[in-house]
Amino acid sequence: MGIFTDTERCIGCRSCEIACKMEKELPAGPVRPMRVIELGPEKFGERIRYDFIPMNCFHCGRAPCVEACPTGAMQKREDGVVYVDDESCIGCRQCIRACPFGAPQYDPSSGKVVKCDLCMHRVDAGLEPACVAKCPTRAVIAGNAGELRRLAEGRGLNLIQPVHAEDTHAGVVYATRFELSRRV
Amino acid sequence: MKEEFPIPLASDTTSGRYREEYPGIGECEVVETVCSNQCETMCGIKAYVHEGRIRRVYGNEAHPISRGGLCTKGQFMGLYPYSPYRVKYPMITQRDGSKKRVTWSEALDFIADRLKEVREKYGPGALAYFGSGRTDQQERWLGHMFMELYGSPNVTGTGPLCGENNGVGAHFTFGSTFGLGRQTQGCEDWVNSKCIFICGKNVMETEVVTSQWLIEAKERGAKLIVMDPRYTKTAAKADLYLQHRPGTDVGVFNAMMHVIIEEDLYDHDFVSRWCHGWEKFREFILKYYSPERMEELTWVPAEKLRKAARMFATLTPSTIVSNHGTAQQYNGTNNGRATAILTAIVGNLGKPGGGWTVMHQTRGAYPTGLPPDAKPKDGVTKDEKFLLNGWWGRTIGMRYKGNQYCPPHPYGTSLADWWDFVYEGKIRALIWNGNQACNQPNGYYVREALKKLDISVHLGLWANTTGKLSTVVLPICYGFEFDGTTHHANERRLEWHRKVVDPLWEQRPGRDFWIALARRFGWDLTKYVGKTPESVHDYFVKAWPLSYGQTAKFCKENLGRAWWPHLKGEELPMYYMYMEDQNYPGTDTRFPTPKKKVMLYSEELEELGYDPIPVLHEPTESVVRTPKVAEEYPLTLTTGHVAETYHEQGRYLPWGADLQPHQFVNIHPDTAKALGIEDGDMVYVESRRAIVKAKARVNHAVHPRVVWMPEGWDEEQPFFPYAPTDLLLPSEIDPFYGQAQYKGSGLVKVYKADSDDPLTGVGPKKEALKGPMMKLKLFTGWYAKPFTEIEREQCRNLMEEDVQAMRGE
Repeated sequence: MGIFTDTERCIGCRSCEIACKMEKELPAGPVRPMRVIELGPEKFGERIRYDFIPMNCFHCGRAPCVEACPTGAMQKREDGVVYVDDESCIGCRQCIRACPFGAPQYDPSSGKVVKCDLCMHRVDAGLEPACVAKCPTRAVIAGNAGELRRLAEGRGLNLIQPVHAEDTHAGVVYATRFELSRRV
Repeated sequence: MKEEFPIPLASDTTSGRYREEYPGIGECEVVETVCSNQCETMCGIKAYVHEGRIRRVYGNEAHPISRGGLCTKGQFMGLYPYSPYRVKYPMITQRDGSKKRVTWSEALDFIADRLKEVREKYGPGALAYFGSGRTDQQERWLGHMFMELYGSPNVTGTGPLCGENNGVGAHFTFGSTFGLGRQTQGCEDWVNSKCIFICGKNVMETEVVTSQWLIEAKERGAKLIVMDPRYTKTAAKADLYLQHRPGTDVGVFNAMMHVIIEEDLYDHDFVSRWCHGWEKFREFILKYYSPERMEELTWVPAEKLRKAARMFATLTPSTIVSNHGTAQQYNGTNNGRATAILTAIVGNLGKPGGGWTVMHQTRGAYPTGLPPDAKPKDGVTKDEKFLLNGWWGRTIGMRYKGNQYCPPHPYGTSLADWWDFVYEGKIRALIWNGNQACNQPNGYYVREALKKLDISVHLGLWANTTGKLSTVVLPICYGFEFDGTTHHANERRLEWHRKVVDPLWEQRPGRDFWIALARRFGWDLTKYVGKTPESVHDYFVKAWPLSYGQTAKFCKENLGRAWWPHLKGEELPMYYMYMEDQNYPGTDTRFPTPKKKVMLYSEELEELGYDPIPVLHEPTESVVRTPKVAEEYPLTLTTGHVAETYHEQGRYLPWGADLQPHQFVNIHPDTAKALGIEDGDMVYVESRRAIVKAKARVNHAVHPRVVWMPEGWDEEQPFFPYAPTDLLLPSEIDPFYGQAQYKGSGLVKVYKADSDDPLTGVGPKKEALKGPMMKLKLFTGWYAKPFTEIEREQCRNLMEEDVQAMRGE
C-alpha cells in the first residue's frame, strides 16, 4: 500500500493538509501529518521555478521510528502501513528523533505523537485516504506498490525511494516526479 | 411576538439524503450539496452528519466538474455552522456604539419604520441595496423584487466590483440579449484546446478544483500561456509566462493582434464573413500597437509578445481564460473587448476547445417578473427620465438602455460609485451584506460615509467591520443551513444547495428578511414566489425565457449540468454558444449585435462616448499617468486572493487563519534589499490615501517595481487582525461600468515598521476623506472626444491631459 505524488499535478492548494487534519480531528497549529512544501518562486537564470511537494510519511520498509519506539506504539502492519497506536504512545518523541523526514509530529494538546497512517480505517473499508479523495488534481494517489511503480513508469516519472524503503516487498513506495522547469 | 417566516429552511427532506456507515464514526446521514460560492466552481459535496453534528465533509465524485475534488474552503463549509464568530442574533446599534440584541420582529419593525420615513422625506431613490458574492441567489432575487416595489433603482451587486466587466466588453463584441456576453463553453472543454491563454486569472489559487481541467488539458498536449504581474501557482504550470505592468493588459492583447495581423495568422474566412470593422480595426492596431512600442509600456519583451501571439494563433483551437485580472481595472471594459476580439479573429468562436472561456461570466438576466401593475406609481422605476438621470451613478454605461430588467444592473450602478452620493445626502439608507467596509477601495472614505446614513442594515455572516459600522445587523444562514439556490457558477450553471444542519442560533436565510420586510409595507411576496425554496427558485428562472428549464428539479437531477440557455420545452440546455449553424436563443442571428457580426469596431460604444476599438488607458494612478506621484510612491500596487481562504470566508476559523496567517506584501528581493527589508519583517505599505501594515514576503514572484497584496483581512478578525489592503486603493472607478481598481491599484511606498503589532500606526491620510482625487470631468471629458482625436493621442503622452485635468487646468 502506498502513496504516489505527481508534483507536476500538484498545485500547492493544501487541500490535503486540511483533509488530513479534518479526518484526524486535529486542532489548528503546526501539527500537519500531511505538509505541502513550497519551493520558490525563485529565479534560476532566466527561469522562475515554483514547485510543490506534498509530504506525508514514507511508510518505510525498515522504519526507524518503529525501531526507536520504546513501547511498541509505533508499528508496521502487514500491508506496510506504519502507524502509531494512540493508547500506548507515551509522547517520548524518540520516533521524531529517529525519522529523517519529520513525519511523526508531537501534538501538545494530547501529549502524543501524530503521524500519517494512510487513513487505514478508511482504506480497510474500501475508501481512499482523505488526502487522495479530496485532491483537486489527483496529484496524490494511493495504491499498491506494484501498481504505483507501473503508473510511474507509464508516465515517465522518477521514483524516489527513501533510504529505508529499499525493502519494498514488505513496505511502501513513495514516488515523486521532480523535473527542472522547462518554462520560460 | 415571534416572527413567522412562511418559507421553511427546507421542504424536500428526502432527495439527496441517505444513510451510510462511516468507518470509525458509525451510521451517518449523508447530505449531497454544494459549496456556496467561495469561488465559481461550486463543487459537489457530501456532508456526513452523525447524531446531529457534521463530522466529515468530502467532495462528491458524481459532480462532473469537481469529480470529488474539494479545496480547503469547501472543507470549511462543515465548520462554519459552529463558529462562535458568526452573527448569531439581530442587533441594533445604540447611541454609544454598542450593539443591543433584539428579536427579528423588533429589528424588522425598526427597519421598516425607518425606510418608510426615508421614502417619505427623500423619495424611493434614497434607498440602495448591495448583494455580495456570498448572497444566496434567492435572497438576491427577492431583494430585487422588494426594491422594485419600493421604487428604487439603486440595486447593485458584485458585478462592477468583481469579474463582470469582461462580460460588458464581450456584449459589445459578440452580442447578447440582456447586456452581458457570457462564457461561451465550459471549463471541461479545455481538454479540447491546443493552447490556453490564461490572462488575469490565477486558476490554481482562485478556482482550485477547476484547475484539474487545465492539468488534464496540459497532459493531452495543450500549451499554457500565463500572463500575470505575479508568478502564481498558475504560472508555475505555464509553458510561456508573461509578466506585464499592472493595468497595461490591452497593450499586450493589442500587440498580439498586431503580430497576428502582420504575420497573416488570423482566420480569413471568419474575419471576412463574420466580423465588422476589420479595415478600421486593422489600420488602428498596425499603426499604434507594435510589440516594440508596447514593450515600453507593458514591460513585456517584444519577443515574448510575438511568441505568445504565434502560439495562440497557430495552436488552434485555442481559448482565452480570464477573470478579475482583466475585469478589475480602470480599463476593464476595453480588456473584455480585447480578449473577445483576439479569440474571434483567430477563428475560435463556436468550436470545441475554442471560444471565450473567461470565467465568472455566467450570470443570466433573471428579471423579477413583477407585473406592471405591481410597481408603485410614484416609484423611480416607472419614470424613464429619472431612470437615466436619477440613478445614483455617473458612468457612461448608464446611458445605455440595454438591459432594464436585470438587477444588479450591468451598467452604471456600482457600490464604489455610491459613496459620493451618500456624502451629498442623496442616498440615505443602505441594505447590504458581505464585508464592503473592508473591501471597498479607499475604505476610510467609505467608513466615514456610513456615519451619514439614516440607516444601514447588514445581513451578516461574520462579526466584521461592516456589521460593526451598520445600524442593524441581522444573522443570515449560510449554505449548509438551508435549502436554496447558489449564486451562479462557471459554465453558466446554477446549483441547488441542501440543508445539512439547522442554524445554531437565530440565523434565517436572507430570503426571509425580504419577505418579512415587504409584508410590513403591505406586499406579500409569497403571492408571486410561493412558499417553498423550490417555488421561489422556479418563479425566477421561469421569469426569463433563457433560463426556463433551470428549475429546482432539473438542478437537483442534473448536478453540475444545469446551465442556461435552457428554453421552455427543450429537454437539455445549450452548451456551446455562438456556433455557426445556431442563432443566439431568442434571436434570428448568430451574433446579436447591431451589424449581426462580431464587432471589431463598435459604433455603439462610440456613440456612448467610449472607445470603439480597445485602447490602452492607464490606471488613474500609475508611473506613466502620474509620474509626480511616483516620485514619492514608486511601487505599483496590485491585489488579489490567496487559495486557502476567500474574502472573510475561512479567516474566522483557526484552521483557515492558520494556513495564511498574515496579510502580506509580495516584494522582489532587489527591492527589499534596497529598502532594508527582509522576508518576514513587518512593514508599512502607504498610498496617498492610507497606511496599512503587512508582513514582507520576499521572492521572485513580482517585478522589482511592483508589489502584490492579498485582500480578506479585517481589523475585527479574531486571529491576525489587520487593517485591510483595499484601504489603500484609489476611489476612482472605471468610466464605463463603475469598476473599482483592484488591479493596477495605484502607487505605494513600503518601509520597515517599528512594531510587529499589525494595528498600530495604520489609518487614513487626510486625502482619503476627499474621496476621488480626480475630478468627474476627467471621465466624461476624455471619452466624449471624437474618435480621431483619441486616435492621435494613442499611446503617447496619455497622462498629460489627465494630469492637467487633475490639477484643474
